[in-house]
Order: sequence, then C-alpha cells, then structure tokens
Amino acid sequence: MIEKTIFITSWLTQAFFVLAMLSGIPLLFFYHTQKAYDSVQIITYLIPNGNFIRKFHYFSSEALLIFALIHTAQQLFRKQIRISQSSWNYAIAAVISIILLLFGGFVLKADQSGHSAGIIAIGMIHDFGPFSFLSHFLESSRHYFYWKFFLWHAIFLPALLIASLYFHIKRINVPTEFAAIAAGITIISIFLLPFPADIAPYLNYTHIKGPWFFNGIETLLSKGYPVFIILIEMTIPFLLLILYWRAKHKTVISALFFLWVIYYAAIGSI
Amino acid sequence: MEKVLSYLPLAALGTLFIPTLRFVIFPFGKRDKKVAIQRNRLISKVTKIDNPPMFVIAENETPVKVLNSHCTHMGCVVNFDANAKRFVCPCHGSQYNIDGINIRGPTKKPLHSESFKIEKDKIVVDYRFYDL
Repeated sequence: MIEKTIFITSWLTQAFFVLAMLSGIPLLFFYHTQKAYDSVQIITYLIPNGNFIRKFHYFSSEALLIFALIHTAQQLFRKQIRISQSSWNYAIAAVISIILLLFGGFVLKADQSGHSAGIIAIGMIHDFGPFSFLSHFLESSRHYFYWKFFLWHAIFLPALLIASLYFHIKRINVPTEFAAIAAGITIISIFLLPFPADIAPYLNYTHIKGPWFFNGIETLLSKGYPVFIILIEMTIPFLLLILYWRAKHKTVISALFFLWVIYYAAIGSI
Repeated sequence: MEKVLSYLPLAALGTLFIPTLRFVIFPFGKRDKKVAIQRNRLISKVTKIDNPPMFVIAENETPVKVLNSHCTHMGCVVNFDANAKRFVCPCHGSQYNIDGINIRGPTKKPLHSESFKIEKDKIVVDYRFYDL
C-alpha cells in the first residue's frame, strides 16, 4: 500500500509546489515591501482576481507542506529506504525549505500577526547564543522590515527547494493528471475552507497567533521557556530523520519521531 | 608546489567571503532617532503612537513618561487595555502596568523607557533601536 501511495504523494507534493510557485509570481508584481500591508490589501480587494490568486497561493502552499509531511511519514513506515543517503538528506532539506517558505509567506502578509511573527523570528535567532549573528540575514530597519523576508521567500528558499527536490529525485516531474488533481484540491479549498483574516496594524487586538505549524513554539514561548532550549527541541525531528537512513533499528527512530510529533501537536493545541 | 597552487583560486574566493559577509549583515538603518510629537495629540492619559511604536503617558496633558511599545520578551508591539490599565502583549501574554513594569507573563524585564524633552507645543523623544 505504502509502496504505491508514496509515488502519489511525491507527485502531488511536486504538483502543489509548481502551483504555489506559479501563483506566487503574479503576486510579486503588486507586492511592495515598503508598503507591505497596503499592497496586500490592494492585491486582495482592488486588483481583479487578486483575492483568488492570493488564496490559490495560500492553499496550494499549505497543501504542499501537508503532502510533503505525509510523504516523509510514509517513508518512515517503509521496510527499507530505496534512495541514497544524499538523496534522503536533500529530501530533509526540502522539507525544511518548505516550512521556512510558508513561514516567510505568513510574515509577508504584513498584518499584525505577520509582523509579530517576523519580529519573533528575528528575536529568537538573536537569542540563539553563538548563532545570533544570523539574525542580520533577516533584520533590517523598520522602513525595510519585509525586504529580507521577501528575498528569502521569493528567491533564496524557492531556489533551495528546487535544488533540493532536483537532487532528491533527480528530476522534477509533474504528471498532468496530478497537476489537475492538485489544482482541483486547491480550488475546492478556496471555496470550502476558511481563509485567515488579516489583522490591520492599528487594531487593538488581544491575541494573535503564528502559523499553525509553529503553535508548539508559540506555547513554549508563552510559558517562558528559553529560546535556546526551544530551538534545540525543534531540531530533534530533523536530527532523527538524518539519523534514520543509517540507523540499524529504524523502528526505534521512527517511534521517537512520531512521539515528538505527538508531543509537538499536544503542546501546540494548548 | 603544483598542488598548493591549485588551491589558489579557492583561497582567492575565500578572501572574498568575510568582506561579503560584513556587507550583507551590515545593520543599515538600525539607528536611534529623534521623533517629534505634537502635544495636542495627547488627548488621554495613555496615547498610542504607531510609527515608531510607543506610548506617551501624560498627566494633566503633560507628558510624564514615554514607553517603547516593543514587548521585552520577543519584541511584539504591546497594546493598552484601558479597562485593566495594563499593557498587554498579544503574542505571548506578557503584561505591564501603566508604569511599564512587568507584572505577568513570560517577560522578565519592564518596557523600555525613552528619554524626551518638551519643546513648546511638541515633545521630542529620543527613540532608541533595541536589539530584539
């Protein structure tokens, strides 16, 4: 069963990636980093079909992450890995790129939650001991706050993801029927699923949340855990995935991985 | 010798790394600035200023304190809850009293207080750029 479906999720992941990338290109024409919130509102409410394209970009990206995670989980249930270690490591790099891409997109909507998420990300890296200098790769003045996030979201991370996918499967191949299925799922999602509202910067909002996949981090931050500990905790699943390829007792690594997922989901739902 | 020479192009590229890194991470625009606020904007005890984010605390229309709105936990911009007379961070729930002292939540430090001076019909704030 897994042997058959693992190719389906692989094709769907690639299809959602292509759709997310294609739907992101038109948004670039109207997104201005210095007037980020205003430009997002102009895209959403003034430009014909802007709202549709924005939603298409959002839902195809969310589906990209979900299918990438399902594809990874499927691999952990397989009896053996049929790809080389480097190919496996590129897959992990691809998953990390997807998570960071989605986070970048969340920041770039530039409403209160996006802006706060950006500030928190910079603050967390800044508090990460010897790696604090990395915050300069995200941080700019107030006037240019979104510029470096934009660079990561529109150029560096897509390039990294394309490279990782290419080296993972040696080609990027999206069969037409899977592209059609992915487009169908995205369009149905646009009409059936709620699209998170933008919180205007001047509103006195009592509680804002980050993207759903960072809920666990938000909970740990709210409880006052040191940033260093949180970031170490977040590297655990990726370290386990890296270890998985070489591990003799793959079941143990898989079990630890899924235990971590349950733990993260539990703290994220608090 | 030939082998050593073959590494020269790599070494040449390596020398470019540090200047390039210093260029990329230069904190351009991250500097303190003076912000002038018209006194007629101070219509209540706590006035929110959006850009840059700060709160001016006034008594009898005379400013007594200027607080930087960035939460000292993770840097989110705090809001003022007029009913509870508290500053509340919408991200992780840190709370500060009207003097900016931390009273609840994950933060361990009070809100940063900015120095200012009153000039006729405006107040001039020395707004500082804090590392988040």
